Amino acid sequence: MATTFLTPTTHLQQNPDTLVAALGDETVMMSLSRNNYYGLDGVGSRIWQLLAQPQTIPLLCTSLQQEFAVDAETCQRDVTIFVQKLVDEGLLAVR
Amino acid sequence: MYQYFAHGLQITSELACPELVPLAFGEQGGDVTIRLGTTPATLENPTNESVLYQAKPNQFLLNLDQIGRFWVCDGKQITIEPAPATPEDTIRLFLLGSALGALLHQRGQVILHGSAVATARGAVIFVGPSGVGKSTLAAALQQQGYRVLADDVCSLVYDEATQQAQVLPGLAHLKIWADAAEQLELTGAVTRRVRPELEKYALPLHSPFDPTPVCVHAVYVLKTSNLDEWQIEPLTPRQKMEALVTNTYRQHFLAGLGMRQQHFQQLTRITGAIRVCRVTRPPAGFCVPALIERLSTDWMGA
Repeated sequence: MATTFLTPTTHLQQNPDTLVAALGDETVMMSLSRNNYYGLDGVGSRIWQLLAQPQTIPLLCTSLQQEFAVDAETCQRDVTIFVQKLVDEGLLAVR
Repeated sequence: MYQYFAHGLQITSELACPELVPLAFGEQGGDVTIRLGTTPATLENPTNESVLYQAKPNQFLLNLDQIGRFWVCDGKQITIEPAPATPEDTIRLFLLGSALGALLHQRGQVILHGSAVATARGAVIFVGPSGVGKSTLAAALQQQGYRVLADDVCSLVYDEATQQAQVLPGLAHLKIWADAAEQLELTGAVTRRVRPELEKYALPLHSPFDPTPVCVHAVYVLKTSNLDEWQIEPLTPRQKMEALVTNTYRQHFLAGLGMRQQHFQQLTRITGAIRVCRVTRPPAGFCVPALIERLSTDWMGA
């Protein structure tokens, strides 16, 4: 499968084909189409929650920097890596 | 008509099933009816099909060449159309296996492929691939005086009031392989072959049947490894979910029945309430007493 290249204007949102549950501090997700399981930690869970609405990477970073002590550069880098993984696993709808 | 109790359900059956616990519950029939009759040859517009079955929401058809067809509807009714000269033992094996499994999925019950026994701490469940020793372990624990709650198909419910997962007991025997019966010196206790061509035998349960649900204490996922050591590792929430989905009885029926989402939600509630551990044992010499000692230390301590 070709990798989707993410830009600052790429719109991202949860793929409805995903089952999600909060279990303790972890968010457990299952992709129905791929039959895979994923676990998200606290920050990952928060990003997933934000992705209930359409987001871009800059929008996500703005929200996260208000909640977590992180500088803009680190936030941008880590969020991009994380979101790219979600996209690669088919967990996000991209447009 | 015969009347039985299994997996928390009252079952009325035209076919005698010595594998189930007989129960009298009046004229009204029960939750589930099993009949002999005519079934469709195929389902119209199935959402999912394989060589052996077709499924769509509330409908399931198991079609076994030279054995018969099993039509499972609405979580309430199973109609069997046996092929000529199929022995009843063979019919029952598929009736109480795949067909009942599909029915329980239609009802939204969680069913694990494994055996369960009652301990001082609650029910413990053993799951894992076929041949890993689930039934052998249950038979050995029964020899030590434990009450066996389930074999092969283990039904679970989540009790809202206590927020605990419970095992619904419901069988009258265990099925064990001939070599396991020999190893446990149970060859005198087994009754009959579960299927004419299989070296697998029925072993009656010792304790009188008690239908009361038993709270789940732990699930042990058994596997062999190439490491020459034993390990019992508790799983993380994500690993628990994955282990329980993988070890769901006839898991591949869920998609066609349109029940995967419901099943996932049920499992998240259940996994939150129980301990799930992966148990790896050395490949050589499946030593039952050593396994029991390690497992019972874990379930008493954890």
